[in-house]
Amino acid sequence: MSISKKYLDPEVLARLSRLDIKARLVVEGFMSGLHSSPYKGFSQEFADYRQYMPGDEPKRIDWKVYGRNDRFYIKEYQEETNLRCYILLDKSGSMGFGEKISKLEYAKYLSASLAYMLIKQKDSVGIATFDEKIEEIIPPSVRKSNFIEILKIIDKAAPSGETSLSNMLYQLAQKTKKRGLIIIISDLLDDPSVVIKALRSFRYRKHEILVFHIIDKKEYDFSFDKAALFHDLEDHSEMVIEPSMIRTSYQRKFKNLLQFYRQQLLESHIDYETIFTTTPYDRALFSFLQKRGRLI
Amino acid sequence: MIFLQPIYLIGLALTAVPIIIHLWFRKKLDKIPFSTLKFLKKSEARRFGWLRIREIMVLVLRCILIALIFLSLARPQFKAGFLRSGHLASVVVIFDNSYSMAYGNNFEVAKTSALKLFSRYSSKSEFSVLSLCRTQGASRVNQTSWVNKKSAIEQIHQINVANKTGTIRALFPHFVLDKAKYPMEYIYVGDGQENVFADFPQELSIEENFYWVKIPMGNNLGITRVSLKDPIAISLDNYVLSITVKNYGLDMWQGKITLQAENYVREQECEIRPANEKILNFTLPIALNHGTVHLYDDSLLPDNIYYFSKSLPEKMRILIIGTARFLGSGLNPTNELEGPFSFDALESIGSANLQRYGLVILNGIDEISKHDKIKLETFLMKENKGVLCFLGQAVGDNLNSFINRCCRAEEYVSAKGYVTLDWVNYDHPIFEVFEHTGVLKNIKFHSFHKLDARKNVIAKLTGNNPFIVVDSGLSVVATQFLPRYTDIVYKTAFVPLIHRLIVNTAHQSHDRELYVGDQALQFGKLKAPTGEYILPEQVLLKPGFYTTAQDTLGVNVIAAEGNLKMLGSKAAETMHIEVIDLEKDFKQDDMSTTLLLLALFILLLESLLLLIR
Repeated sequence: MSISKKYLDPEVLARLSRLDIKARLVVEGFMSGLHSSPYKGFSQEFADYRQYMPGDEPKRIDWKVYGRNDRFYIKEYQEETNLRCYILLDKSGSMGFGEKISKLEYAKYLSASLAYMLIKQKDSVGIATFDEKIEEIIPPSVRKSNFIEILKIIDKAAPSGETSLSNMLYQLAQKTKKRGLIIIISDLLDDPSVVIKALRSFRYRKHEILVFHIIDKKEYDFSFDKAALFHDLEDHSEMVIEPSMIRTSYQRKFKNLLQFYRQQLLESHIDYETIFTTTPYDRALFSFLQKRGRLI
Repeated sequence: MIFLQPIYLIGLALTAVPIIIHLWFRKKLDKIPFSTLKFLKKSEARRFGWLRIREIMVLVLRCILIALIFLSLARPQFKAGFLRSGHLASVVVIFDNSYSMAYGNNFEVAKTSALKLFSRYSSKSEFSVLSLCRTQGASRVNQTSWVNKKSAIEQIHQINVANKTGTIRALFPHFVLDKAKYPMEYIYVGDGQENVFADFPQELSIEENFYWVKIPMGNNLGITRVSLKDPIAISLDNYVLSITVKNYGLDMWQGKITLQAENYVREQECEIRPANEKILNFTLPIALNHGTVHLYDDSLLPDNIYYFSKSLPEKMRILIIGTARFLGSGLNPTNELEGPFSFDALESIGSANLQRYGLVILNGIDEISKHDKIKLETFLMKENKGVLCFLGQAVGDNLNSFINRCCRAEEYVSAKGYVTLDWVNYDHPIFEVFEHTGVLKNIKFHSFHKLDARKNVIAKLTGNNPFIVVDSGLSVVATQFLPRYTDIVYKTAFVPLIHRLIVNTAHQSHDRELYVGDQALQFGKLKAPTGEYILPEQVLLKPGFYTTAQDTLGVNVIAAEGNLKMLGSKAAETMHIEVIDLEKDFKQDDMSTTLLLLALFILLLESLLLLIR
């Protein structure tokens, strides 16, 4: 594994302290592995030269430079888009759960990485953290200083409160008049039918929606080995559970929930991605790029 | 309810263990933060409710399981029948210590049963413990007042087997019947042989408070009788030992009976149907004077060995009035074998001292004087004395008067040719030995007196003429044993008949059957099989061969003890005796098995509960 790529591993990334560095490392690690450049667009403004790399289109080779230096260089342009993107980061209590890294930590790195990628692409990016309501919000902007603010908010996000995605979406709907891309990073532990209803209402307003459903592996397979006192991170209730007794039933019901989300969101033309906290970040970033590609 | 092993009740404290473990583990449970239980609560709400209930149920079942196991080990006894626990009564306990109780571990079982019985009574109850038979060196009845439970238990422990039998009737006068504080109850603990209940006191039947705690016993087969067929009477070369074996059991018995006398061993196989008996005859050489008969394959030991001995009876002195010519040879038939009798012969009684003799034989004399008649009558008033009268051709008035209480002699008959014995009572001890032998056939009698018999006629001649008439101490024979009157003097039957006539008339027996519990007064000092010497006033304690200076005596257990026959349930009912099978009773009351089964059920229930998901 190359140095740049190793930061796609959530566990490795978690050892780093600064969020901006984390975001940069993730994105750059991700970019270096792409065969085709993701930067496409019309209104291009020259930014820099870059050595030709396999995967780049030959037509983009600057032959004048080649004539002078006998080396292949391609011109890089800063893409100018009118994409407005909101990253909605769920910081509810349930996001605090995680075996090695918590769902919130994973979500935070993912959010930062996405923000970094968007900023780097000159897209307008804003962020909102929420639990039962919107906790903090920064409207989308292309300014680099905005990225710093975004990182501050992400960094500040700590797990608390209950998940109420629907409530948050209704609040956000009133604040976002222009259509754009809404990236929701959440464990979706709310009433599924209400969540679907809220997302659909957003979709009706011509917003594009990408949902990253963050799941911890233990949450998925309930692979606890012995009886324990389970503590609810949202409402703080407690319950003694013998995992072996309910595992099968739990797994079945959880899969049904995922299936429900997948099916309902597909029907509503909402992109949905289940992301385990052990999943490397490139998968999430790929999903994002695919989505962005369709929008531009 | 009582507990036989109350120490185990301490274990009930362990019922707290599952609760402690439960609380401990609950305290030790890891606390796992989880994203949300909403989903679990929603989907598994009912399930969790059930699991919680199940957890509590399993906990309770485990506590019950431990409690049941320890309760079972404590052996609780619950009494609802014969005696409820804590019963208050004045109890007369009759403990059967007769010889039959020595069979197997019956005696210990009886003691255990008695102790169990005491546990049913309140400690305030009063007791009187009586052993059925007196034991050597100890008074049979040592109770004249009521004692408390503790003392009664000690007394039960002190009782030993008595080597003989006894009856409740004999014990009854010793019952403490007065001053009873509480309602009276009588409890007999024993194997319940019929003879124990012989002549059962009516007083005990009336109140219906007599209980018999039944001690179980094994199958039952026994030698009921071994009789020597008169070693003198039959052939001089050998004699026959007749052994009667009875099967008291419920099944057909097939086995061997072994006779062993020194190196002489004979075996006979036989089959005996239930409740039947069989007689087996063993012919023995005359030289063998004692031995044992063994009955194998039977569980009841006391009657499985019979010690037999034959020996000549004590010398009896006989006075013969009249001719002693043929009669004398019959009394002492050989020179080699010294006969059991010595005799003197006189023409008349005269001044003879009759008290020196055991028997007077009036052999063919026509008449006696009045004085002689009085002397004879006085002689007969003594114990074990007798007069044997062989009638001659004439019978005078005094003589006829003397024999009158037995019969009256009428005319003298000379038969045309001869007459023979027409009928003989073989059940009478005189003729018993002749049954099936045929030796009494074809004995010719040429002349005899017609007798007007008033008492027992034991033999008749042709024409329904009484031949021998017997009464206590007096026997009359219708003719003389001389060749001109009869040819019996040349027949095999002559000697045995004479001998038996003498012995039975004088009430002396060849049979010297001695039983455990008897006193052998007439034998002087005896050497017991154990080697110790038994003085005449001491009782014989063990069966076996006892020896005198000249003789060997077989001592057996009396048939009543050896051949157990239990009192039937109908007979017990008639006597108002309630039969208690204490073992069964305790088994029924013993809650241990029930509790263990319940514990198993609880275990099963717990397993099922744990299997339900």
